[in-house]
Amino acid sequence: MRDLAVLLTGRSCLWWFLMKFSAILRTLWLFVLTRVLLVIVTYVGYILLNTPRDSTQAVKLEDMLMVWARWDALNFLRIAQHGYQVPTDFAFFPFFPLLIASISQYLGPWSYWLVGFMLSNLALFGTLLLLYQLAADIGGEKVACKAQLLFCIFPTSFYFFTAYNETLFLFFALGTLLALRRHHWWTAGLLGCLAALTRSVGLMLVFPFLVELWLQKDRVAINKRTLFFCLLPMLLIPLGTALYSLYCWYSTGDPIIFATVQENWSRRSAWPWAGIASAIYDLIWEQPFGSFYQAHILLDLGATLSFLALLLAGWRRIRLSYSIYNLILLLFCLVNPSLTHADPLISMQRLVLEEAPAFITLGFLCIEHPRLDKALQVFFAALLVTLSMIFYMNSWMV
Amino acid sequence: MASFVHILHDDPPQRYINRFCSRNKRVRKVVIYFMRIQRLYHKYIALKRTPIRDTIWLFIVTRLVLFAVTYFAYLLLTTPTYLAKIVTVPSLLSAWNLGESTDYIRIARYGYQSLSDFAYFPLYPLLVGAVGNLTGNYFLVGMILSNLAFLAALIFLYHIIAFSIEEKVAHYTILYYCIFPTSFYFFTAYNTSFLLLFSVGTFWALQRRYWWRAGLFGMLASLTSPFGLLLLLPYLATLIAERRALFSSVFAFLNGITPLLLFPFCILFINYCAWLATGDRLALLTVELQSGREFTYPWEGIIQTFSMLFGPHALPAGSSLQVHLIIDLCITLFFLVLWVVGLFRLPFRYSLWSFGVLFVLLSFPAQESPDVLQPNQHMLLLLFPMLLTLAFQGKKHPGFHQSLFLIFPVFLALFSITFILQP
Repeated sequence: MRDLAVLLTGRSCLWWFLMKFSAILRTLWLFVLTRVLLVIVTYVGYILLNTPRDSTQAVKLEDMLMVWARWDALNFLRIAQHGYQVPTDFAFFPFFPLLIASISQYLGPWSYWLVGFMLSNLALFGTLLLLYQLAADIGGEKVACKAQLLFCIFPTSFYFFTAYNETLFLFFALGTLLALRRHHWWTAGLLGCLAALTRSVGLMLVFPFLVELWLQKDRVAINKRTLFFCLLPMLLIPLGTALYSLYCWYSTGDPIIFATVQENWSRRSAWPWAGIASAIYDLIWEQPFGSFYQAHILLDLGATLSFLALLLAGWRRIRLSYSIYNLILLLFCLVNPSLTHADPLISMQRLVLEEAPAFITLGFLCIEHPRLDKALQVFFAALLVTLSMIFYMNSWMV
Repeated sequence: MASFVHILHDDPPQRYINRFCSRNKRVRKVVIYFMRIQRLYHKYIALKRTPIRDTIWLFIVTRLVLFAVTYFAYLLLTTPTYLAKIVTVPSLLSAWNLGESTDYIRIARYGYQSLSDFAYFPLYPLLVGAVGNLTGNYFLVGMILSNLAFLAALIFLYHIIAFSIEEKVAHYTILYYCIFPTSFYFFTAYNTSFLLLFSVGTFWALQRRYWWRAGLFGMLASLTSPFGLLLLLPYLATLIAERRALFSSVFAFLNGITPLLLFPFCILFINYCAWLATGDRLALLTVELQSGREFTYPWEGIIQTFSMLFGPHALPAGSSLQVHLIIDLCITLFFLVLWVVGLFRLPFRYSLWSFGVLFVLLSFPAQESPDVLQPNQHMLLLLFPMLLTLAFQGKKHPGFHQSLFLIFPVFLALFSITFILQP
């Protein structure tokens, strides 16, 4: 309260406002710049790769508008428009399609793609602001800016540009982490519930919640009543998953159909290292140089190992609850590999994006090592363009 | 320099002195003196090596990035989804064997076969041919030589700018060169890297008033491309600036003037070789006339492009030609703006040479092509003073530098992929 009083008086208030305002402006600039660049990459790349050199034949602009509606984006839009129809649809959690549907039903059938695209990008802007706040709390402004930049230009961050639910999930997940950090337990519980309704992995937010309670035990465990009211909001997180389970039970008779249909993508439970070992084996022995799957294994394995390394590097650098969040999410992905698939770590290139606090660690490392910083920026930006083009040219990129 | 002075007045730590010398005062003095010199030397070496190490690091990183872009784009965009087709390393690299690169490699392998081949000046194909004969893979040799020449040009450039302007500006210039959107031409078998190397070499020599070396570099540049001849402009500008020293003695005058003859000598020599091969006494002139490049006002190409984009008979939106025109127009205008901005900041010889190159490029547009400004894409890369101007701005405005550092690699990857994969 005292801090707030100081904050709300005179210069402090103005200073706080200016600090926040400049951070928001910087974030907005980064957000707009990367979106504009992706639009240019789409325009130039799509036309030049689909028409002969120096030809006057034009591609249809309506085709170009839809180039980002690929792979899972199509699933989300179909669910938003027509509801859950086949069992595999239940693998996609309901909050994102529900949000699209709730807006698009007033605008008309043409708007589903546009609304999905806008929601995903708006959620990204919110996520960037939250990431800034989380990173600035730990490492200051420099680290926060660097983390934001690297997050925005990460090679697979093009998923944030299209109608995928990654950004919405990240918005809720990072919101939960920030609320926990600020001791807003009910807000954290509510955001955690929405995260659990957006992606299955949202349920794992229970662990950082518990860790944060433990870290703040001096404040939480004063008496039984306080402890109870701090623990109670945590139950909202599993409630999100439970609500969706109820819906699944009601629709199909199977309350965990979202887990059972994972076999459709060859995903089965295994030890966390099984997927990595299998990917390394495949890369060395099974896939010859220059094969389609070699490229995909390289992307997925590279992303997995890099985030493992970041987890270790960040253990002492970032807050314990963030590290636990990263660890649990990584484990959640690794215990469900596609061992019978040619790419055992399928989709890891995208799933690692959910471990956004790892970018704070990367921000620290880049500030400490300027050469690494330069190399990563060039490498990330160039690969972002490459993978974006591969995605919108409808090559397999899930 | 301040740090050197500091070292000279700074005694080495006592423990080293105790370890290496006796208690004799004279011996101690000598040892301390030698230790100071040794420390000074190490400091000098460290200072000198760090920029080179940085430049090499940047060079390697951007080459790896270009390789990674080629690998993923070529593999995943040319192989049908899920198909077990394999792309070999030679086919991966030969994806870059496009445009003028095919002509250079053909000339390196089979020599000049027709009159139109003489549009490509001989030094680069000659080097590729000489090394390629030993290895057998001409394109790979062409690529490696081009990349090595680019690295040498970067190191040279760093030293010129760090010596005459400032280290940070030099560093930014090198960085922008490595990530510039069309800098992929330095990665493939084009002669642009060699032309840049010899041009930078000429400026380096002129900066130090090494007239013969400047003449030699200019000669090599003229043997690489007709644009090398334009290095006469900065040479003459430097001579005029040094007129007092030049007219101080006959020897100084001859020493400054004689290397100038090396420039036209090269053109005459190439023309002589072309005459022997084709029987045409004015072979180079004939090639130029046949190439469809005719003198126009410098603004004609830009106006023509504008009218194709926005005129009454504008190209349809979404066509390949429209995109190419936009790209080439943007690059040309970008360099023109940089030239104007740099006019007040750069030494006169830099601006004069840049003006010469821009004037020739714009006055002789590629009329035979629907995209008249197309050659500007790689020829403008030659203009290092423009990137130097950009570095000045980058240093002055950190936000601008950050934005460029984000925008340039994006376009570099985009243009690289469309270069290697456009049907």
